[in-house]
Amino acid sequence: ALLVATYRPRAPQPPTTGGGAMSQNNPSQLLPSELIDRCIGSKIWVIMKGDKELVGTLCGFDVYVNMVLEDVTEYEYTAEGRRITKLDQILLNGNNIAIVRIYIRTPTSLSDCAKRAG
Amino acid sequence: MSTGGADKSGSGGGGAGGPVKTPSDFLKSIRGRPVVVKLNSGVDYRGILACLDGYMNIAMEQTEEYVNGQLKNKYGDAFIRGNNVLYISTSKRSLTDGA
Repeated sequence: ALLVATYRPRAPQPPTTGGGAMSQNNPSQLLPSELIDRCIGSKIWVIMKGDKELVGTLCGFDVYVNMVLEDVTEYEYTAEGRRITKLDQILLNGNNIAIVRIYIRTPTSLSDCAKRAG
Repeated sequence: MSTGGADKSGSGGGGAGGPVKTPSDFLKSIRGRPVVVKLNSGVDYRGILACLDGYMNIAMEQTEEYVNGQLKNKYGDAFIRGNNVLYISTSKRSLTDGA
């Protein structure tokens, strides 16, 4: 297979600087979907539109970035507090996905930081 | 080049996951199984998944409607239009706790 499943934090090529570099047909250009493809099998952190975050292992995705996730923890931030839901395997609609990251620390710690910062 | 389509068969040895499972694989695998469907509004529907398509339109049987984790309604058959669906989950385990 052409694509590598394991996530490599640093891409082998330097980032392109602008339109000029982008317009060259650079074979090492990394497509956004390739970046997600490298996360397959890894634990990822998905931040949704509207006070919702999910952490789980990425099993696959499609052109709409609908995702199949495994061993998922869902964090909902409501006026009453945080609600945590554990889920076995889900198909997440890509429509409300804002940010996808490799999971490194708990969403709790970051949201707490945000609260402290105001 | 494969860019997230249904033809990623070779990769996926990165972690605990095993083989790659795309959204279309998932849809095929869950028909007839008990599922939890969460809508964008936050309402949960639990029941047996009778039928679904690529738009995430869903037909369910023995459907129970949960609002804030509390059972509000039961429907013998229910149709959910796909645009409202946040996620479809296999319902092996599921628990909630407030904080």
